[in-house]
Amino acid sequence: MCLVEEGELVAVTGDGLREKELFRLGKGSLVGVAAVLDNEPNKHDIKAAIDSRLTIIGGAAIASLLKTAPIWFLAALKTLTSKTRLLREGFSKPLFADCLQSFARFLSLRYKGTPLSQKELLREYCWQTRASEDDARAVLRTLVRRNMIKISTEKGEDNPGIVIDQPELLVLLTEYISCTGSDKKFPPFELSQRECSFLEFLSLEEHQFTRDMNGWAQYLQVADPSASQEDVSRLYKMGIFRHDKEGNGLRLQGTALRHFLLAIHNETSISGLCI
Amino acid sequence: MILKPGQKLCGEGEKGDSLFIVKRGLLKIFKREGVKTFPAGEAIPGTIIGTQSLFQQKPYDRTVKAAEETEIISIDQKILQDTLERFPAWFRNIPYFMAARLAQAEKSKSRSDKIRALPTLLFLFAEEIDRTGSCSFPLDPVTTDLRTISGLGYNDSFQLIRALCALGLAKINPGESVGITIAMPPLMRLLYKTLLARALSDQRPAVLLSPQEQVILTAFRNAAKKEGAEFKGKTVVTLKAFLAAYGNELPRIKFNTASLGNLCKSGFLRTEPEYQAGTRDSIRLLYADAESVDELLELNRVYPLLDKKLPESF
Repeated sequence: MCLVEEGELVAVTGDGLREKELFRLGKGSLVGVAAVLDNEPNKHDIKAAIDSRLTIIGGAAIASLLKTAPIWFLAALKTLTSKTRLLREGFSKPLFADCLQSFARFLSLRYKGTPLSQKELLREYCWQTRASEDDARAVLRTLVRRNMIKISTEKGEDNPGIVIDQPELLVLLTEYISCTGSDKKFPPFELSQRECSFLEFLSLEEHQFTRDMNGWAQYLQVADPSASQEDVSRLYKMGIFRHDKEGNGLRLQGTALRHFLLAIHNETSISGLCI
Repeated sequence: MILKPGQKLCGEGEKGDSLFIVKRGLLKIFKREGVKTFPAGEAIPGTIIGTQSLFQQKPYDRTVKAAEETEIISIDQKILQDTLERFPAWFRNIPYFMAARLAQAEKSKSRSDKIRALPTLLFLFAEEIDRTGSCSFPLDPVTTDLRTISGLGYNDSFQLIRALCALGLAKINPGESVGITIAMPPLMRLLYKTLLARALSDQRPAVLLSPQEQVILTAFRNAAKKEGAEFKGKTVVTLKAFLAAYGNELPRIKFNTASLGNLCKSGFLRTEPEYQAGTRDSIRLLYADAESVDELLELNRVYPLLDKKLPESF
């Protein structure tokens, strides 16, 4: 590291023949701080613009100065250095919180009912997210173990394809990881046995009836005589019922019901307990 | 300084010029993303909070609250100056230099993250257009998916979306549920596929046209608007009308048949009779799918801007 005692330096880039001036360093400026503190290579060529007098400051001189500094000051400098280093290392790393969640969501959107080329899919995903191919392959194996995808070798061993029977399972997995990652409970896995049986019973309903709360309670009593309006109210809060547009009563929400039942039927796959 | 459980040490965006060191206890860190606040870690004894506020007087970038009774050591500007006074003058700039370097790295990283997330955003827009069958849809599901897949936070996502809007690709619809309207819906998929092909293949995608090819398609589009006819779902123009439009685009510059040949080979433009090298004068008609031509020209207008203009927005 150099201290400019007198004169002026100039930072340049280029090959010597076609140099471009970047900036100038006047009296009192320090040159090569990053090189001493972080062992970074010098970024630019620095030349004297006019006659200059420099003082060379070695790492040992700085170290002896820092010995007299209070601990908080050293810790602050260390924090600045480590944060900068981490940020720079982060340029080539993925940003997502969870590779399994990220890949599952990507796959659920990418799948259109026909087998996907595993090779092309991995390349596309890694390009989008900066995930390493090894990590993406590991996630793919996890999804196979969880029975969420199948690998087909119909087009040959060299070009395996990915087949998904129920892409909604990947969406549920994404939601489940999102809940566990933020210390929230995944609603389908919080249902009691009794509530699950209500959902199973409601799934037998083929027609989209509108009933008031009491009407639905009576309907559920066919399956369980102890069913009450409180049970209907809880199912309403879960999104299984919604008020119809006319405001005449509650309407069964087929999509939400199927969503809950699919999660309940595949709890071990979604939560990873099947592995 | 002693903080009680739940007591705030500093708030995100609040002006600050002090640094805090956790001596005892535990703090929770939160980051605001749009209207939501997300947990962003914990601060245990030894953690330093607010280096950029001490050295650069920058607002705090996180909200920090005590999770339990916590003892904090506060370092303000006076303590900093008293400490720096002990060092020779040349040394005093070093912490400021390091803080500026960190700020620069943060800015570069944030910009790089947004640019890297662009393909995923285009992919999600294309998927949402297909799913809803509409060019207008709420933004919230898209930003949630963008966060899940690429990890880009809501604030950065919104900056990226605004940058795309500045290129004329979309328009944000304000309201209780913020939405977006995509100006040319098929362009999202086309842009995504072009970026993908460019990244994963050594060959330049055929959809990226040379300037001469763009002029030919522009002339075709202008001629079609003026005196084009519809035939079997294609727009047809006569060679005479096309050459007149070409002359308007590039006066005094000779028509390049090689570029026409490339466009015919890629299937973007057709001629009747079929184009053969050196047989320009025998061509009677040129025809193409007018919408595809518009999309192709828009792609070639926007594509270079993604490299040049988009990074400048951040």
